[in-house]
Amino acid sequence: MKLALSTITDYTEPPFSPTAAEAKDLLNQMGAEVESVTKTRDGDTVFDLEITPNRPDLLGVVGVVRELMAATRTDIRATRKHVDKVEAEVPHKDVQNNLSNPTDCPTYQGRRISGVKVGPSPEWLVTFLEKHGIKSINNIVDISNYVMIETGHPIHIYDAEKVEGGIVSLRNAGENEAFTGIGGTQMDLKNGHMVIVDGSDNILALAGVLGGQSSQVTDSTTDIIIESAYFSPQKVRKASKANKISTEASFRFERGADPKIPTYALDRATALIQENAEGTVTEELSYGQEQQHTQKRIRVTYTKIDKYLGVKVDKDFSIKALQSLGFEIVQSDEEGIEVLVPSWRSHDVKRDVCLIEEIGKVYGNDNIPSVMPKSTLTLSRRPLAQQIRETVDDFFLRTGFNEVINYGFCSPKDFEDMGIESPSKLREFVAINVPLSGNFSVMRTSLIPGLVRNHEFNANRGQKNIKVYEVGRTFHKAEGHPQEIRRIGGLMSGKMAQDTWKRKETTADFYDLKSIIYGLLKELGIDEQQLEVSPANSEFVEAGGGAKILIDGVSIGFFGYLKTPKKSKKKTEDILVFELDIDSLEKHCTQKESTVEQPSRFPSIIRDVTFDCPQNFLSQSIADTVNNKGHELVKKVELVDTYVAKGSEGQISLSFRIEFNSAERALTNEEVSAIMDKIIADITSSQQISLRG
Amino acid sequence: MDRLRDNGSPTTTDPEISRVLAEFEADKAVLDQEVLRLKYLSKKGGSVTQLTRRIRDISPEQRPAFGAQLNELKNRIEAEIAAIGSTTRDEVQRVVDISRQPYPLERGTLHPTALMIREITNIFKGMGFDIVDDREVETVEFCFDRLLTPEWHPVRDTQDTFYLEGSNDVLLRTQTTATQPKILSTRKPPFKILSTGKVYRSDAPDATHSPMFHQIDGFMVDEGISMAHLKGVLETFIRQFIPKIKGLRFRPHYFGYTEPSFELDVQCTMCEGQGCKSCKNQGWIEVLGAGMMHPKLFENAGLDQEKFTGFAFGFGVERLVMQKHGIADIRSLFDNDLNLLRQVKR
Repeated sequence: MKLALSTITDYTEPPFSPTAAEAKDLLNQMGAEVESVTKTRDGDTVFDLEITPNRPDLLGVVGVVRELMAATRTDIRATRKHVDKVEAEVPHKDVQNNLSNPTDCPTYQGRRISGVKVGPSPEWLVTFLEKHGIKSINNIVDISNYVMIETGHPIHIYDAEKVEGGIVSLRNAGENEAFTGIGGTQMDLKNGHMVIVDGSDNILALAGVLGGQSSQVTDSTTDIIIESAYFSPQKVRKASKANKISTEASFRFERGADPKIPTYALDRATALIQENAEGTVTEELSYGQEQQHTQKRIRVTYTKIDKYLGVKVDKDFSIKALQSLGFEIVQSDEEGIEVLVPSWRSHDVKRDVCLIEEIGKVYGNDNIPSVMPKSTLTLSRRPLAQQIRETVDDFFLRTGFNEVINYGFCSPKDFEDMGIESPSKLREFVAINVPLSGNFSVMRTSLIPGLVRNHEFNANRGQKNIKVYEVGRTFHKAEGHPQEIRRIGGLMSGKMAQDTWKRKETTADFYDLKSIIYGLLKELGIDEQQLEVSPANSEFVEAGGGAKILIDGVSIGFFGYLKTPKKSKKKTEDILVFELDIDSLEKHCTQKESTVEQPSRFPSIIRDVTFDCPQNFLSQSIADTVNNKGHELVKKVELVDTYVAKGSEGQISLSFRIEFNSAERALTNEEVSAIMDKIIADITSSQQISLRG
Repeated sequence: MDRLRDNGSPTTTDPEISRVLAEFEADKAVLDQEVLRLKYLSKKGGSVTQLTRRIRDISPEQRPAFGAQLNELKNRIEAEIAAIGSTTRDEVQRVVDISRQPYPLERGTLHPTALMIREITNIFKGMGFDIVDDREVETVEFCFDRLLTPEWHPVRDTQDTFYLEGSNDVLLRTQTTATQPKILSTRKPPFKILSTGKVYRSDAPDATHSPMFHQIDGFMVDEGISMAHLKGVLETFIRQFIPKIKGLRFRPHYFGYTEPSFELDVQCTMCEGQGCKSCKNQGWIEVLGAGMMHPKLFENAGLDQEKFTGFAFGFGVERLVMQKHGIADIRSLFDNDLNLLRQVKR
């Protein structure tokens, strides 16, 4: 919506002439946001306003000026132009309202004017329209637009000669009925759409949206019919949406026209046409009375005004503010006031807080103080999920991972490309009904494909060492409402850190990732002792190079080397991935009571021992055996070295360091040796392994 | 002291004194101050003390010389023991290249959007707000109906909203505001809530639109909450969040679920309100939407709307991230380019 500065002066009585800066502030204060300001050739200023959808009354200059004048707190009011009542003794025709729901058009006014001279518009009209964003066409069309810009009410003018039988009526369109609008737009109408038809049932217009091409005013037009009506916002919106056509008229009608303005708009158009294009009124057409509209009565108390705004507002001020916006005070007492809502606000002012909003705007939000609330102190709830989130972020910050955020949707192809074929739980997608594109057609069931895409993006840009993580939700089919699972996913490739003058780093491997995962879980309050690993069954990781992690036998995620899809021809570098399920591990993260053990005052005795094991041997079982045999003097079992000895290919040698300690006494070499002998015997008897001598 | 070493001196040094001195010279490099004091000067069995006792065995004519030598020895040992600790033993001249670039500690980064959410939630946590992480798949009831968005409203259109699973009821939430009706019907006021997370709109990606972005929605409900309180809390937040902010204004606006409604604009910090490129010549930059929670929300949740009032506010995070970092294209926040991510400073 555009408003010229000169228009303000033109529509106020006595004429009010603010500076451009003043006008801009007043408009913003009332919520008619000034989006841009331009200067015109004649030295005028034009404001481009963003009008919120609840305010159709501000889609006409009189409405905007009314609003602006209220903010000045002066007695100057916006005025609409005076028109004399048209009182010609002419025949009257009833307009037939054959709509399935006649209230979709409660009032329809029409007037036939004969002998008009279509031609160019006068200079003032061309300039006015230009400033308000509309191109001049001819005097008749321009006047129709002018009345709309002035009053905010769209009217339509037909070439009366093209209206067969000279009568118009309203009905619903038939299913797939064809209609060609002004400009040649072909439309396939639907059942619910309202149309205006002539005596031969030819469609003249899609009501409230667009006039028909066949009856549009041309240079040779001599007789016209002016239409000024009220159409249901919902019906106009539906028709406009279904036909993918939005016009100045539909934009206004779908927000809600002023039910009491059609007669004025018709008279105003008649007067302007007779002034600028001659012609005489030869016929009146109508359906319904616009006076049928009953204004809403709303009461608001002064206590509530003060309580809501948080400031004491003078009673007189509230009354004047509402009056300046066109509200009529019908009752006023000590406690409050009762008002009649002006017809142009019937769509948005419904209850007392709506009146308070109006008073607040005139009062000015800037004049309301900023006050911190006094509130009852309550214990702030900090959900576990949020604590987990913070711990995860802090952990990855310290360990050099970069957080990524990927879209929640993806394409089934992302999973195909990774070699994940149906049937697979990962391919039971929650589908989007109308996706933007094939890339975004389903909701993700895993964070891994997104992370792999991030890897590809960055590797293609020359990044060597990539460590990324994401915290996000995955979506899964379920009975009824889809299930959401919160997850932590990550990917690493290249080196753990960049090489420096100080040291050359090694390539990240499975064990680096495992230490990251165990470190993260420890940070979350889950001890290594609670965790179990077993060979992975995830479709994302290699059979021999991945593990799933379990707590109490329940899987909480997996980690390992990303499987290279068979189709891939490229020789790819090692990529490590993991995915943990926050919902499953959450219950294990509850705060445990913290206890510390008094450190022993006696020295430890340390023994190293090496075993030759089969290559695929799970080394943890040795530590487990030592611990399970449960000698209380064993304090720690640690894997300190692994190697393949010369001549023992196919075997792996694992060196362990075992620490013995007692809190009560100094241990002797003899007793430790005895325990060691027992441990070695246990291990070599219960496992397929031998002591390396 | 010199006399003790000077072999050419008329008096020869007593052999016992020489022995103790030699022993001390060897010991002082390896023993601690206290150990040396005990060994040489202890009144009970210190080496020097024992020498003093020997004076009785010395012939009277040799006694003065012995006494002098003993005194000198005692003074010297005392002085040297006392001096230990004030100088470093075997001091080495270190040479370091103080200018060398430090060995970099590997640090990760938060995504700039996540970092901003963290900064903002921290401010509200400081004011006692609870943080809520709500589901992303919502229903029409919570996303629209309970937020007073009528059925014919454009945002409910399939062109604006992603509906799921062939249904016209299950959808990806278009706003984190969907949390409001749930809290209203499950918690007892007073409460202060901040709901953050991902929201989805069916917008084709371009420089300023993304089909997924992040939103923060906050609200506070108690008896007697007013517009003045809304201004107080939001102004406190903004001044903490953007300390160099000069002016702010609450411009009336429209949202279906608040009445009155506002947009909060802050004066552009680049041009101080004069109008420049970064504020599109407006002098002001829109930061968030806010308002008094609509009485209908309270009615629908079975709360007494005459007793309880509340304010609510909400905003998209990416727009603020773009403004803060001068990022022109929202899509670059979803590329996850490490060259960008690694620049994020906490």
